[in-house]
Amino acid sequence: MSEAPLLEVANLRTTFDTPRGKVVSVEDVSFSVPRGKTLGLVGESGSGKSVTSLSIMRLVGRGGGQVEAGTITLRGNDGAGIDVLSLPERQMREVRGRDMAMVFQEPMTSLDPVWSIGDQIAESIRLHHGASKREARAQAVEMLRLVGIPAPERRVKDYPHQLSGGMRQRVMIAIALSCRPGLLIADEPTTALDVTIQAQILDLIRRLQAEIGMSVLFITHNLGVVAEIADRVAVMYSGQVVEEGPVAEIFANPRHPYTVGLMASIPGGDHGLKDGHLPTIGGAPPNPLDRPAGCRFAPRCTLAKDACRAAGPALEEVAPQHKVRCIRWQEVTR
Amino acid sequence: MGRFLAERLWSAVLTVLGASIIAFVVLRALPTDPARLIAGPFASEDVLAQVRAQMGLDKPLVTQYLDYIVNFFTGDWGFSYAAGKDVLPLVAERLPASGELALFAFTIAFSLAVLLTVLVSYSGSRVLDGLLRAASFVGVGVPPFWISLLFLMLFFETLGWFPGPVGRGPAPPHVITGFYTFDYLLAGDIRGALTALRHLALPGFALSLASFGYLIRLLRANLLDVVHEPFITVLHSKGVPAFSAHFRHILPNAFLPTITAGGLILAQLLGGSVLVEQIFTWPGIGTLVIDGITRQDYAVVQAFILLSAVIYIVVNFAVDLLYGWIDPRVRRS
Ligand SMILES: Nc1ncnc2c1ncn2[C@@H]1O[C@H](COP(=O)(O)OP(=O)(O)OP(=O)(O)O)[C@@H](O)[C@H]1O
Ligand SMILES: [Mg+2]
Repeated sequence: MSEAPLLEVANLRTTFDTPRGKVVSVEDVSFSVPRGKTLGLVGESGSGKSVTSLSIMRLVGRGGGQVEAGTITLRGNDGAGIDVLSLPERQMREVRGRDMAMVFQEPMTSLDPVWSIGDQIAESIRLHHGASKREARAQAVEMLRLVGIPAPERRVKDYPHQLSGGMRQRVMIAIALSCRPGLLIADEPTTALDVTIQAQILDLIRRLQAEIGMSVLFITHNLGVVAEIADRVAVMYSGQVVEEGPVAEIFANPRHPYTVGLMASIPGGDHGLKDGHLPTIGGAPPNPLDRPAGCRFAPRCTLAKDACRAAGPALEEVAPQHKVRCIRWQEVTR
Repeated sequence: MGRFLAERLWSAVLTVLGASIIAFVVLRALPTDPARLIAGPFASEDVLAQVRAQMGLDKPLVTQYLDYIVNFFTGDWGFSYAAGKDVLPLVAERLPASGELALFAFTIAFSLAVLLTVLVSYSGSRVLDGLLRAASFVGVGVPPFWISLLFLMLFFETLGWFPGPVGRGPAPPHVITGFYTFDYLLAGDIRGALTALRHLALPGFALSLASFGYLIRLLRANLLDVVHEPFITVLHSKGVPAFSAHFRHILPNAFLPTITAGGLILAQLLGGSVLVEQIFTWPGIGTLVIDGITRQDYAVVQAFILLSAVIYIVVNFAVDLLYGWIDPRVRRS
């Protein structure tokens, strides 16, 4: 682990002003994605995974959010770091799609319904590589072939409504990868698809990652998928990262009660807390407008004591590369 | 595409059929006896019977209806007893006046509304957006007759910039299209064309205001909807510049309902407008129909209803073609 990571997120804080008050969707989030590797970002619905990824792309503003603090560093092949958050918008636009690209959760609504899929792929290629219309079209066909769409020469003229959800997600992947980005952010790319298609899409992403040599930030709420695809994992709870580390280490040696609870919810798993309680997690995450003062997981945690409720714990390194946000991590085992 | 056209054609036929039946039945259900109207209050029963036979009113209703349809499409639109003329030349004389006014009003309403709305939405300025909404509110809310009178007081009486309520102005030497502006231009008479335009201005703007306001409201709402579609976030994640996102993605997606509404508005305007034509003594179809109704000159009214249906269908057909061209979902489904 001597090489600097491709993406480094440190102490990220993203908020939304809503009529009911300021929502802190992401607070003190830190993790890193090694070059050519995959980080799985897991957490329940509403834990802030999408807001984190949109913050990295600097697209939270469209939804009325703002990044209030933190640093996001993206390193090019030459090792020079780009300070993403302080980049002028013009340059950021060039970074988007070229250096980092994103695949979204909902393939049915992610494509422009009145543009052919070929034109939507070609749009990125022309934008970032200055290719001519014909070159871009030819490359679009190649991209369609790469993501496994049959008869790409014919399909390139199709419109989104003529494709199934799985095919559309392949098109989305083709768009995202058309400029060979260093980082792919995949925000629950398989959630909306049925199981057999999910496996195909996962395979596809893995294969293309090896081919292009990119890093992947893979967002999911399924630890099983993380085990399959990721090298590192970061677990989010209520807007914070509560545990981060190498997949093998975390699966063998989880140190946060929430991670343990998540593992127990993987089908076939036999994980639980030391004292045998909490095979799955009872209760629900706190309302972001009304979070407990101390540890955010304390109300659902069987190990919680007064000290947990008094102050929010910091992310602490408990083993090389392995960080946990829990003051009682030593008492937690699977 | 072939099936798409066939479907459109079929629905056009149905619309004409529906409109013709309505025109036929409604006018036949009126309590007045057209034979009596024509022959006068003192005519004898013999004379009345003769008139009825002449008009075909003694035939069975179905035969009368079929005659009416066949006649309409062969150019025999009946006889106007009020004007003492055949209906077809009467309408043909009035139609270009309404048509020119309608086209003028429509062009202004549509192009201004689209231009302003798109630019304001692209600018993202709240102040401009507020002004735009106010303009739309006024356009929709103010009655056209009131604005006509206001225009006349302001731009004719007070400022004297435009001609008063004197109709279309001097006719061009050769009437070719029936649109004075075009006919003057065809004759190479720029000054004449400008005069025609000056006569069009006040009634044209007065007539355009409501459509202008309505189109702004519609397009603005649709733009706002599309801006928040997930695929726009995807565009930004690709690095597409704001200008391109706005004009090449958001606008085409938001534009479809505006095209439909534009078609309906154009068809409606082409049918003439009673109030504005009356105020500006515009020799259009609206005034003709009102006269037809008050004098129970039902051949005129009947022809007008069917003609409106045909106009509506032709315009809608054009709209559908445009639609199919912009939206692939329509084209291929
Ligand atoms: N546009 C917004 N305005 C206000 N609050 C928002 C907005 N977008 C997200 N949030 C809030 O931020 C928090 C995190 O949302 P986020 O979408 O990141 O969750 P997630 O982990 O991606 O969940 P899921 O698995 O359902 O996708 C939520 O509490 C949500 O209410
Ligand atoms: Mg999400």
